[in-house]
Formats: sequence, structure tokens, C-alpha cells
Amino acid sequence: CNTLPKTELVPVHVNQITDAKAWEVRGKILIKTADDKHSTNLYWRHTATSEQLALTTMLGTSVLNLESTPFGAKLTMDGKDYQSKNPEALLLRMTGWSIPVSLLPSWITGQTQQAEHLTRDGQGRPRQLTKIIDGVKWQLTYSRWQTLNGIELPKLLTLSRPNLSLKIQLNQWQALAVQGSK
Amino acid sequence: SDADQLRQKLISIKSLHAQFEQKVTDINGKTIQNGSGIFALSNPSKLYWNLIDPDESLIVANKDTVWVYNPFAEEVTLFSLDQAVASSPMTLLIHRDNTTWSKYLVVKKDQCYGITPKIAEGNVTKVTACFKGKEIASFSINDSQGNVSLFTLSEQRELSPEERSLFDFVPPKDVDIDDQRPQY
Repeated sequence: CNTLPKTELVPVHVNQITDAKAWEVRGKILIKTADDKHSTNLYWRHTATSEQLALTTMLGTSVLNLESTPFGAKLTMDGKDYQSKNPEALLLRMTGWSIPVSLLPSWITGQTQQAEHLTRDGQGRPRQLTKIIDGVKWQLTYSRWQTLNGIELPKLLTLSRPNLSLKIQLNQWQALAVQGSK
Repeated sequence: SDADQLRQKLISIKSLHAQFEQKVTDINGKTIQNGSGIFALSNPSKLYWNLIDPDESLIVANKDTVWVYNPFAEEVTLFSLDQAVASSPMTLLIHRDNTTWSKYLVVKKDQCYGITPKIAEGNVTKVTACFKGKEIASFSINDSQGNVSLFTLSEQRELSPEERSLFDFVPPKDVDIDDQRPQY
């Protein structure tokens, strides 16, 4: 019979977002710079020890794939692989987009613990926050919320810094866990 | 040749309206994108691909212009049909001329035809069209990163007369128009 390898992650139900040690999202991202805009489909898989970001065209072909672990990051674009210790620096060098890879997993799931100047909406959900990263001021705005698999999550958020803005829409979210673990 | 057989099969499809399910898997087999919508084509050179779920995207090819409407980006991009074949090879399904087809190698295996560019152009390494009798059952796009984007068709039927207007795309008012067609 076809037994899944131990580390295979499978969908699991969680009662609250903080219980999800690993998850994946599918949605869309619009990256606007001063002179250009790129819109792709977005897939993000977050685990305790790794991040995977896959951007694809409407028809499903790959735009880029970024995988990072504590040991380093690998970016695949146009059939070529690039390596670096730091995923943010690698993405910036190869695409010109500075995307806060380390903070995005918590932000796209509405977890905004280490933020400055956080405002909340009428239902107590984060509305807007600012965060200084490497001397650059980022502003994050949540404009729509939704419930996916029983968890309240952002539907639409915009993250911007001087001459770069990211609009991210989440369509699907799924918590993951190792097969058979609690 | 396999190529002639495929082209005959495509030409014999006067028009088509179908539901599609799209599933994209990455090199490790993970589903990184999925969706569903309506796919239609009318010979010669008219194609309509409308993703409806999880959200809308639209590709319309009509004679030698291809419109790609992306509501999320509030943008319509225009390509010539030749340009489009490289980026969205589905348009090969409606392309008639020999010069375009001569750039591809077609190999038949069971009910499927594998279409590979003789000179790699862009990211796409292969397009596969599979038939069930005379009907297109599915087509898939493989790229150099190991992604496989599979479109499974169902409820295939001829276009009704009023559905002819599917191919007359008019960009909505408040969107950016990005005309990428080569300017003669």
C-alpha cells in the first residue's frame, strides 16, 4: 500500500490560527513598482522550518519559486536556480522587489504581534499597522476579512513602502500537519 | 503524420463550449493553483477562456488579437496571436497556418498528442491535447520548472448562435490597457 513518508504534510483541522504550525494559502498578488506592475497567482506554504513561495501565471506556468530554510534560500526563475543565505536579498537582487519574506507569513494570516502603531476595526481585527524593517517604513492595511476552514483570515490586504506596493488576496487557506501527529 | 492528424482533429471541431477544471501541480506534486470556468472555441482562430472560480480571469482570442483581462490587476493586455502562442500555447489549438505549426513537434501517444516547441521559447516545454473520440477531453501545459497545469473539460457541446458574442471582447471602462502587440 502507498504509505506517506513520515514528513508528508496533510490537511488538518485547527480551531485557531496559532494552532496551525504549518499551513498553505492560494491566492493572488499584485506587485506595483514605480514603473511597472506584475500580477500573478500566489501559493505560500509555511512550516516551522521552511517557507515556499510559488508565483504562477493565469495558465499555471511558473513565474518564480522561492524556498527558504534556516540553512539558506533557493530562487528558481526562467529555469535557473539562484542561492543565497538571505531570501529577501535574493528576491530583491533577482526581481527588484523587496518583499519581507520573513514577516509575510504572519501578516497574510492576520497575526500582527510585533507591529508598531496598530489600529483595529470595529470588530477588534487589525486594520492598519506600520513596521520599520531595515530603516524602511512598511504600511499594512487589511481591507477585507473572510472565514476559511473555520478560521477568520484576511481576504484582501495591501502592504506598501516608498515606490513599492503589494496587494494580496487570499482565496484558500489550509492548516497542515505531519501525518498522524496530534 | 501525428501533426496532420492533430490538426485534422482540431479543424473538425467547428465550435466548442465546455466547462473546465484547472489544477496546477509543482515539481513535487503539490497543488499550487486550482480553479474552474468556461472554455469555448470557434474555428478558425477564436478562443475564449474564462476562469470564474476562485476569481475571474479572461483570455479571448479573436482572429489575430488576444485580450488578457485580469480584474485583480484592473488591466487588459493585448497580444498578437503569434505572440500569444508562445506565452499561452492554448491558442495553438486555433492556429491554422503551417509556419506556426512547423515550429512544433507533435507526437501521438494513445489518445493524446504531445506538442513540443522545436526551439524552446519562454517557459513552456510541452502542451498535451487529449481526445475522447472527436472531443477534446483535456489539455495540459508543462513548463521548465516542472509545473503541470491540467485543464479537464466536461459538458462539451457546440456553441449556440447567441454565444458567438463570447469572442467580441470589449475592455471595461476603468482598466489600464497594455497593448503589447508589435507595432507595424
